[in-house]
Amino acid sequence: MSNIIEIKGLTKKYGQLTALNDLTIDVPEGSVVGFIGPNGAGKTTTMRILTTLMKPTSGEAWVNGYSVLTNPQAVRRSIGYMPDFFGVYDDMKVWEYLDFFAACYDIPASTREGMIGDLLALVDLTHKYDAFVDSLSRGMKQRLCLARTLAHDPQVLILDEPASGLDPRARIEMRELLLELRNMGKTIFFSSHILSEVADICTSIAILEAGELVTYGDIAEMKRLLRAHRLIQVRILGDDMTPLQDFLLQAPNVTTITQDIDVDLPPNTLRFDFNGDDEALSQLLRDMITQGLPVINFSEETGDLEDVFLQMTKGIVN
Amino acid sequence: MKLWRWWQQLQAHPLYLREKGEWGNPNPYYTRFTNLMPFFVLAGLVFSFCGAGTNTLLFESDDALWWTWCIIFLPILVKNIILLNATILAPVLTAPTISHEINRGTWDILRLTPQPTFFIVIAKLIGSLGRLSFMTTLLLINIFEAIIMSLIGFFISSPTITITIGIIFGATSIIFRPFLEILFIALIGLILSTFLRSANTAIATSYILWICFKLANNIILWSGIFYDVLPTPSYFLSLTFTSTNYLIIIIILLAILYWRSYRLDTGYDWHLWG
Repeated sequence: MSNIIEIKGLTKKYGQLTALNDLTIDVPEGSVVGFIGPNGAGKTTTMRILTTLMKPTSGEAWVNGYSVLTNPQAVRRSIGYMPDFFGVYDDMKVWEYLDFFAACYDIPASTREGMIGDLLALVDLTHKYDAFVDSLSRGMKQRLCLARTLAHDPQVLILDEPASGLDPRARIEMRELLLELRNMGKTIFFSSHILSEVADICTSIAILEAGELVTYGDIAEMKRLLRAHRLIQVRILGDDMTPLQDFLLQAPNVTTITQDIDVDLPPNTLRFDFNGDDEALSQLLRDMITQGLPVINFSEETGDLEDVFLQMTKGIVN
Repeated sequence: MKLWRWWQQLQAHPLYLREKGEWGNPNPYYTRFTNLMPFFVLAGLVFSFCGAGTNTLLFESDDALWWTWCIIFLPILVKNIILLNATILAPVLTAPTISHEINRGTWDILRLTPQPTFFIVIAKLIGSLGRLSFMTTLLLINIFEAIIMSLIGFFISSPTITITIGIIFGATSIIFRPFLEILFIALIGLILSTFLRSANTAIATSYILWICFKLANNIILWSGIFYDVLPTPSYFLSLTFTSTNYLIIIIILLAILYWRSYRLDTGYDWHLWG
């Protein structure tokens, strides 16, 4: 799969402050990249450079093969951008708003009418076709803004905090919409503070902190790599946990053991840290069975994206 | 030919049409100011009568000119009213264009459309000025006034080459000066709009600069400061009078506008004042 976004050594300085330092990322076509990090991490700066709205201090970026520095007009035709402070013309009707921007992208009037209907159907705003933008709720405006980014059918969508400030329902609707766009084959590069939302939609994540890229990669792989000490839960039949405890104390790769009485665990359950690989874990389970331990549950706790984020970042703010 | 194609493209562009008011209502300030139109008309009347009153020498020294003055006074009255309205409305039309877009968060979106930023800015300038009504009337009155004034010039003087050049410059000035004034104040408003976040501040600052320039551009003031008016050749006076200064300043303003467009386009200068 070819890379539709390539970022090489991107640096942006505002006077003494380095907002972005030597960022290098390749985004394959059709992927959904969640760009996460605390405020001031450099997410918006990266997006503004990618959308040609800002020049980097050094480094280079290409979108759809076009350089953001030397061919910004071609980049602009390839992307749809929704800023965090999205703008709508309150004095226009919903269809006029889409019609205006489609005309700005030189889409002929004959094709605009059908296209507006399709876009409004996609973002579920068909019933607001003739309403003034002013009368829409924030969530609706956000969806309208997303429809506007799709007016010229760009390959890449760059969305800065697409769900910020939305109520839970509107957030779910936005997530569904992004999933639909992902299924349509669009490459989506978006930033968010809502980590669960990123986990639901993204194929990969990039974590940025104080202008530095902390990590970037496949979301599932990243969670796995983070677990240098994997947390394993074992549940056995009966109340006597001593044989299991004795076995684990002698087993290789097993470190801290926690009982159900110490933490919030189901009854007859032990939890232990395991620092071996999948092969070693499988061998451990085989040994337990061979030893005659009545195992009824053997599972690994999977951390969520919050864990990944907290482990990766140090809380540094620019 | 290329320029003509560019002009055609500009006039069909949605940004131009929107600023002209054919695509929503982009400028709420314009609507508010047009409500004050009766006061501007009244002010135009007052200024015109004051202007006529200062020309008593013309009335008294030569009776033959009195009827000529009466013929042109009514068109001048109309012209003054149109001009005053246009010059007051021009910054109201242009000063909010960019600052309002930035405040609304739509400027970034506009910049991402395929047109270069300077094209966007010029489309906004021409489009917003297209909302000014009575411009054809103003042109016709100017041509009429220029013809009358030229005839008077030839009638009262011995037409030497110097005087003929002076009269041609004078007539050209009469025709184009009002439009240059409108363009000047509109450009001031637009440039300020690229600097200031507040449309109100941009409009008010445009008026202040306009008044300052009107004072500085007064030939009587200039003649006292920069040159002695009496030994100055008449063609030079005509040159000064024929708004060449306006033309030069407008070219400078266009260059500034181009620079500002570049700055806004490249994001070098995002933080605006105000």
